[in-house]
Amino acid sequence: MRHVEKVFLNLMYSGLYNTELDEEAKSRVLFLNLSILIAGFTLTFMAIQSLFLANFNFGAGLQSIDIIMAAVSFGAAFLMVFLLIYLRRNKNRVFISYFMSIALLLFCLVMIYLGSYRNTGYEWIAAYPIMSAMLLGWRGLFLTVILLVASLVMTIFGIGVATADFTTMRLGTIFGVAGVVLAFSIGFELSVSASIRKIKHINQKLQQSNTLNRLIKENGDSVCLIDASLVIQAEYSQSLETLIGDQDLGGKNLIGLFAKHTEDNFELEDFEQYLSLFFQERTKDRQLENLNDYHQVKLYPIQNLPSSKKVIDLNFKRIHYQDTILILCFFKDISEQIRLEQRLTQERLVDDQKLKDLLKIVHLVKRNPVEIEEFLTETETSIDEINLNLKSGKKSNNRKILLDSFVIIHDIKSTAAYVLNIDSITQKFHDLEEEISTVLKLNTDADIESTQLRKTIYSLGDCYEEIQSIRGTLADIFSVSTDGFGGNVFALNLESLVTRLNQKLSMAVRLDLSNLDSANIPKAYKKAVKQSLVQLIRNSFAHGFESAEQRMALAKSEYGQISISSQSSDGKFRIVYRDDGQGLDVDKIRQVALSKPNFAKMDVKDLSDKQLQTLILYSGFSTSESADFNSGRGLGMSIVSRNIKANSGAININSVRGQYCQFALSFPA
Amino acid sequence: MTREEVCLPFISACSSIFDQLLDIKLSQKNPHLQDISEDRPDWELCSLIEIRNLEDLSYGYISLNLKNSSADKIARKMIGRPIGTISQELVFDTLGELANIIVGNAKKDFEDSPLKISTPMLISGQKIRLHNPAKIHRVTIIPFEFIEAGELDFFDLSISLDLKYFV
Repeated sequence: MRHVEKVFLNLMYSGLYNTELDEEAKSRVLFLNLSILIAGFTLTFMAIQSLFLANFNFGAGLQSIDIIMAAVSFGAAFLMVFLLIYLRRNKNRVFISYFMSIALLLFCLVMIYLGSYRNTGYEWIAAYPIMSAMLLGWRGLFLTVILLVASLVMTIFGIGVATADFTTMRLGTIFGVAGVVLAFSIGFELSVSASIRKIKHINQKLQQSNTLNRLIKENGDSVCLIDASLVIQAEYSQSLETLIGDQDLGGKNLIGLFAKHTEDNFELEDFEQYLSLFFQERTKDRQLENLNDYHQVKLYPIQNLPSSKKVIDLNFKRIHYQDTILILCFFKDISEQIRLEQRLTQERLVDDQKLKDLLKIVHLVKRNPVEIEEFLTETETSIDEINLNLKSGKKSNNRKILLDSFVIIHDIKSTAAYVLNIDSITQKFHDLEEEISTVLKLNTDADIESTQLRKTIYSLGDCYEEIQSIRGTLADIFSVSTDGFGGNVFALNLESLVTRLNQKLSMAVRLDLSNLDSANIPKAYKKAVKQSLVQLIRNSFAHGFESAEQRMALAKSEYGQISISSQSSDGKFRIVYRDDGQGLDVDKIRQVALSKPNFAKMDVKDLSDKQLQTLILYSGFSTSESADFNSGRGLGMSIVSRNIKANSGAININSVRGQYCQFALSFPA
Repeated sequence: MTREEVCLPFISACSSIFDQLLDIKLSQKNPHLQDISEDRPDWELCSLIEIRNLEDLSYGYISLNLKNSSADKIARKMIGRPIGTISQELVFDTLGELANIIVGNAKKDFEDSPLKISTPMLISGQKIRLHNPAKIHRVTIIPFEFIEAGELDFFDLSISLDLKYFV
């Protein structure tokens, strides 16, 4: 607001004027103030005129008192006009304005006293109400006029001004001007009051409207107003269009929009009935809130597209606006919140299940540590084998690989479900089994393409991660326990494996672990050592040992012997595995290598026996003529090799045909 | 979101871009798992693509891995210079561009998805091991083979996705 405009606005209310009114109100105030100024300048003119007419005694000669009085009157009149503008531009000077008004009255009374001599005071006292109005505004005039009359009476009768000077004409002038000014002030005040009432009303409406607009624009939710016919009003949040999935919502019926964008089972009639309650004055707001059953409404911005679903929390508020009732509707998109809650619930269920499984496993470990450790190791080995089979497999043999895998997986699943009762593992292997079953069913005759095996691999990965998760948790639990997965369990596990293989393959092999300090196997290598030893034992059973008859014929003990020892020296940790079987057949190894194109670049003919022995560590290398799932694919030794290399270790093979085969696994200490 | 939904666009993009841009027919080999700690001497150039779901903060990556010699062949084919030498820098630039095209093509399938797919980042070196933010023990490998200049060649996609979020 410009400075001059502010001065004019403040004139009427002595600086108390609300400058935030609209343009219409301002123009009214400016007009009224202008009339005050015109009156002020008229007064000044009248004062000058009266001074000249009364004080300058034309023809009688100019007296010094006349010059002084003329100068004082002239100066006072102009000073008054400009001073009052200065005083009233700021509300802090209201007190000074009243002080000035009283001073002016005293000045007028002095002028009467002096004017009785020269007859000029009467003009001043007659003009005082107008000057006072300029100082205090019209509101202050009531007090001013009362003060004027009281002072005049006191001056005339108290001080003893010559009553002869107060002619009826002069008194009539004084009270006439005061009366006119008073009447004008009353009329003016009434007019102003009417204007103010109107301004206040307009202001109230504007504030309501601003509040609504702010609510609609600034609220985080999408907001709209609906009237009694449930039609959306022109003002609504733009975000509502995105939420509902419709454009230009103003003027559209909310029920009609919900009919388009909600589920078929959404009870539109109930919704309409609920909204109609807002327009019944007797229904309390709290009742309406309690009846709101629309906190999770499913909206589909794109019709018939389930993926566009949004869950909306609807809230309503009844408002009185311009003598009508409207409903302020709040739409809050809580889709993400609901999704997170659902996932949290799901994860909680999974976690609960895992906890249950873990307790079962811990119980199993306490009861029979060998059983669970053996199961986990066997499962890992089986997953490794399936994975390696798939890796080296081709379109032509994928079916066989899957069929073989299916049997293994079913076996693991059965053990997990019926022997160990571990639900999480059972479920993962069940999923894998289902996946394989689906692939096999889809391709009953044709070869299975590699592209069809992706889901199987994802599922196989899940199974492996589940086993690792259980291992990790058990390791965490028993790393602080004194009787858990320690060295003793490690040994028991190997013994159990040998026992089981003896039973399965009807062999008689003894395991010597007297020189194995399994408790001192570095934690970092424990898994690699365990998996490698399992593979070496399986390998010995598959390829190493002769039959009991052959052993007798070779003057060997009837019982096969596997010995495993450990030692730490020269900054290395070593595991030495030895079986007293038939040893490696280097001639056969050479023969197989020559027949495999993969080894063509190696110049196999020139390799030493020692070098030939290392070929068994290559993936897919096997001297066995037939393969089953226990052996024959050349996978076991490659697993050993991979485990050792992954830990920056080394393998040394030492074998004497007909006597023994020894593998020395060394790791950095 | 399923892992197949995440991986398939990249696998399809590889096949179609190699076919249309390079006139190379890719043959997909059996997928398998690979231990995260396993060394892969044949990974000399990796193009790493980060996958982030900003809604649930799940994370993963897909990486296109190949040997330098294979990258060289692909780059020559792409810039149309079968004879003569091309600098290693040009090979990297060309492979980076190829990876960009593949990712751009795959991204079309993620338009309405909360997944954010990064631009590919090229890594070169020996025995590259990729960080394992998804905290899994084994990554999924999708191997491809192709015949270029009369020789059989290979590359693969390694996939590591947070199993907690990608089913």
